[in-house]
Amino acid sequence: MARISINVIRVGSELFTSSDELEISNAVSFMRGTYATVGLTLQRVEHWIIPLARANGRDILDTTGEAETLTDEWTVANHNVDVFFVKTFVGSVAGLSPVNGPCDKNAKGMDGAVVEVIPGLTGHILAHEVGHYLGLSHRSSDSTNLMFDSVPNGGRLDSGQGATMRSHCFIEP
Amino acid sequence: MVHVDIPEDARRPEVVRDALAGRVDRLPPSLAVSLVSELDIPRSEQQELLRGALRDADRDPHIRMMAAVALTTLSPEEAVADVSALIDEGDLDERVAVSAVDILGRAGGPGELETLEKAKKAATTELLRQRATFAEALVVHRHELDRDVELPAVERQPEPEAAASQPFVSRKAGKQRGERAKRGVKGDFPDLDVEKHDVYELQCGPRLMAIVIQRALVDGEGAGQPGDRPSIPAIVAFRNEESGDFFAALVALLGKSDNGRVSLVLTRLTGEPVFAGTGSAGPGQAEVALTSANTPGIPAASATVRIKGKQLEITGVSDTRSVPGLGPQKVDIQ
Repeated sequence: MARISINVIRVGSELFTSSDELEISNAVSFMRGTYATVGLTLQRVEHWIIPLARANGRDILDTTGEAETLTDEWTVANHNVDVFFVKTFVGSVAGLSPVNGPCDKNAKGMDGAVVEVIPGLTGHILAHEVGHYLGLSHRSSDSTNLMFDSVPNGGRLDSGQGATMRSHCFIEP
Repeated sequence: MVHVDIPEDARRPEVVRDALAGRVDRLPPSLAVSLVSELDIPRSEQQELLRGALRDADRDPHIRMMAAVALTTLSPEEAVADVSALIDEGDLDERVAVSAVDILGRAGGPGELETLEKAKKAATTELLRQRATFAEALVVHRHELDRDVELPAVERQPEPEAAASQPFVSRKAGKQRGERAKRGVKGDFPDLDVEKHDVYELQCGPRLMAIVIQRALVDGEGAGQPGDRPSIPAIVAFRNEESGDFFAALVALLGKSDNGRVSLVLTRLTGEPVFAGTGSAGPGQAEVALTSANTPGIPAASATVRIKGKQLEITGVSDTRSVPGLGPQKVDIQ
């Protein structure tokens, strides 16, 4: 079965409470279960922190531009998708990722996903944004699909989407 | 990108008020803040809701920072007055102060320079000192004040390697994308008179950039000697791939250099240098050579900015890879 791994990076790590940690843990479980339905195993989940003193104020994201800058400024040197968890992304946008993100994480442009921790929704946001990174676009006409443009949604993936994700360069056989 | 679908019954003032205090589980403060401007209440009450959240020292600093940002969108002048007053009163949480000085830099006037100086002197963190210093530079350049300011130090990258580089050349933007770029820039710089700006575009790798530049600088009509006073000749906006909207990403700071030459530094909106160079400039003509700063996430690039024949032309090459990002710290969490 094809496998994908992620880096869970907490931005402003001191701000994350035990309930945030539980929310992230549940989000990872949701993503694991959703991806398994299309033959994709979530293999490794590695945990990382960016303390407030080093976060350069990016623990609160005011703009889309600041979210992109966050992924430019920080990189984990491995073959996992970098997922930056923030406590606050101002506005109704709750996550951001390039579509078909690069496997060279020092390539030009956005090279990670950003996920706002929102109780009860973080799993959908995480799975949706990593879905973008692995090549999926929005399914704006199908609210049962994980790639519907807002959350909550039905959280489903179909076999065509699974095939797209499994063909991404981060996938391990 | 994904949005949160907010239930209709949450779009009520009393719910949003509670949510801003962090008391509504299904409506986090970050979403509540975005709802305030959509509430069916007078604008003055919307401002009062946000002002209340901003001024409440017992609230989570994140909520206060978000309220400051939302207040700026709603009414930049009032936001400037509110955050200035908070800094002047002292005892402001430094994280909130960082947001406050950012707002003053982008929307404040010469009258706010004293407040920024005060914030800088009182800062106990390097982050606040840096942001307040950069905010001063922004105010001075936005208002073209004849005053020396401290600009971020720039360590240059070497020129890109020819074999791994992508060429780029600018072109004038079409009306639709040009207008979208101006709207995006106006969101971050509310007093920028976009009607006096033209838009040029640059496709560099996957990124479509829009250069929103002062028209007078390009056509030479009514412009003084560029570089005589600090100024912001252009703001660079990036296009969001999904929404097609543009957002301000880089700000160009023009000033004097040695021997009658001009210096140009492009920074992120939070002050980190991205490109820098020097050159010559006069009314309706300029030639400035730029190279990349050694900043994480920025590729090596060299470019020449030319203004000639009432046209802007930017040509150059950029590496396909960036300066490696900083490394987070690994932790064991079961």
